[in-house]
Amino acid sequence: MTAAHWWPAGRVAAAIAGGELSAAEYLDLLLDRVARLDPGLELLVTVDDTARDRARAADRAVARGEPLGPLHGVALTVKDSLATAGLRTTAGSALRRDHVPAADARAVTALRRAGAIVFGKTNLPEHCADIQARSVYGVSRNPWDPAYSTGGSSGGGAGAVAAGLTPVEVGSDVAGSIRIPAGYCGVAGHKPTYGIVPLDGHLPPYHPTTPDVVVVGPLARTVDDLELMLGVLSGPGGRDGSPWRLDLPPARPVRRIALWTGDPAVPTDPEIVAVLHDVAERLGKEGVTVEEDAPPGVRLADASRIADRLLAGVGVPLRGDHDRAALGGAHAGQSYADWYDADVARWRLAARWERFFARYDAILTPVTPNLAIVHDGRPFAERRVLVGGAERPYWDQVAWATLTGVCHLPTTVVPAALDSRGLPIGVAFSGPRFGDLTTLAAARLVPPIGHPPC
Amino acid sequence: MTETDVVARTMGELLSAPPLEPADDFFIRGGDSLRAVELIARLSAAFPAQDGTPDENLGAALLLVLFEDATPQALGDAVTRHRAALAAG
Repeated sequence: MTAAHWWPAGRVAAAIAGGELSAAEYLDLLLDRVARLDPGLELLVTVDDTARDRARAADRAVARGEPLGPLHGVALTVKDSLATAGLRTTAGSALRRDHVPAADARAVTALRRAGAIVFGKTNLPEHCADIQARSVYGVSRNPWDPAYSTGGSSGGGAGAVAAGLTPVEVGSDVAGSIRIPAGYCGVAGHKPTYGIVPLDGHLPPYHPTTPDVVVVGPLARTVDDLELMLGVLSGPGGRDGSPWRLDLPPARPVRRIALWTGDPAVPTDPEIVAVLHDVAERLGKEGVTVEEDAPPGVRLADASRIADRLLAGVGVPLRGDHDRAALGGAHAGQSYADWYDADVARWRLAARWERFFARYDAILTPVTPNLAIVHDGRPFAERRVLVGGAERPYWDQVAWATLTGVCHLPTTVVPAALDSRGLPIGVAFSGPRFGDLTTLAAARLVPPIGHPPC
Repeated sequence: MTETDVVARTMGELLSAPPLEPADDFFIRGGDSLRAVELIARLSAAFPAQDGTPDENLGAALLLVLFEDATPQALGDAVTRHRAALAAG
């Protein structure tokens, strides 16, 4: 029997509900690992001292035979950009070192209603505005090899899932912030269709607005856990008390998948291309028809240009503190007409995706064009990544994520292999809007790669 | 050079790029509303009325097509249809 800290959340919940494992015992197991491993990995920002009381209360509820939620007694972490009532929420910023929210984010409320014990908050870059998890609270290290970054912005969470410090994590994603760290840390991550998981209580924005493209979503070690978490997190919501109800279509039978490995404007590392072909072959053996194809007239360079403009406002909390080399930074002062032209182009792109998914159930692509990166604390303008040994722009890392993200499409990332350096390579399955259960079903066909040695 | 080729080349000129592919979307490739107006003007001049002046009827037809399907293929086909209708009187 594997140690409980590697169990999926679904199995932990079943064991707690069945009285085979106590919630307090499980929490202590995770806290012990945090105490031993986190000083070297810097994945958590805050540990909640009151979690033990809530775990013991969860155990008493089991003993009393009360009805239990799907995550009853399961200790887990959330990204420190999600407000937790009574527990410090920093958004990675020194400004919020002592910020203790009065109310939970909607996603956190959903977790608590499902019975989860939120016991820790995970590291992220300030305002989620990077694809590493470097903040005044720590530089998150990849559990597979601490010389490498976890990726980000949900990097502390992806690392914590990979290292067995938490079974699942709730992160957030605007330009790959769930997908990229899931890929680098060798865990599964799901970027939901925009709008199906309420954003309320996510920081940023610091205004009472609902930002474009941003989503809250889960990271886990299994696709089944992603689906369990999506079920808990998704639903109507928002501060307007929306009367809409969510009824996601069931997964399509996965019969036909497109494979898109690269684009001349954003070259893909040969190791990643090889892994994508291996996954395609594996899918073929499962009876899936895989064809190399891409939506006609859809190119990474165009999508990146459109995304830069759309994300310019989303990523910049205050006009005065923006960096032109940050994502979308060059367009922070754009006119409304400029934004509107980008918005028109985005929906034209989305229409092409929609037609494409009439033919394919999902598309298999790289998560990033590059392998997991080493830590890079230089100013954005000086950062580069290596792709097949050649220097490429730092923001090439988000090209695949924004291609689908700005069109609000769902994407599931799963680990598929280890690279020549022993770090994970993830692959991404994207599907039609609201086709979340289909991308999860496709990702489930990829066999697991195992855990890092910690 | 076909009508589609002329449209593809004109779109490319407006975007400071090589001719677009027949299935490319002018707006996804970087065209904005100002360039769209200029595109229609240039195409109306490239395919003039019988008196040699820009064909305003063609311009109006192309503008409607542009919103529906902003590709060289769709606009080229529209030019072909328009000219065939003119030739048929």
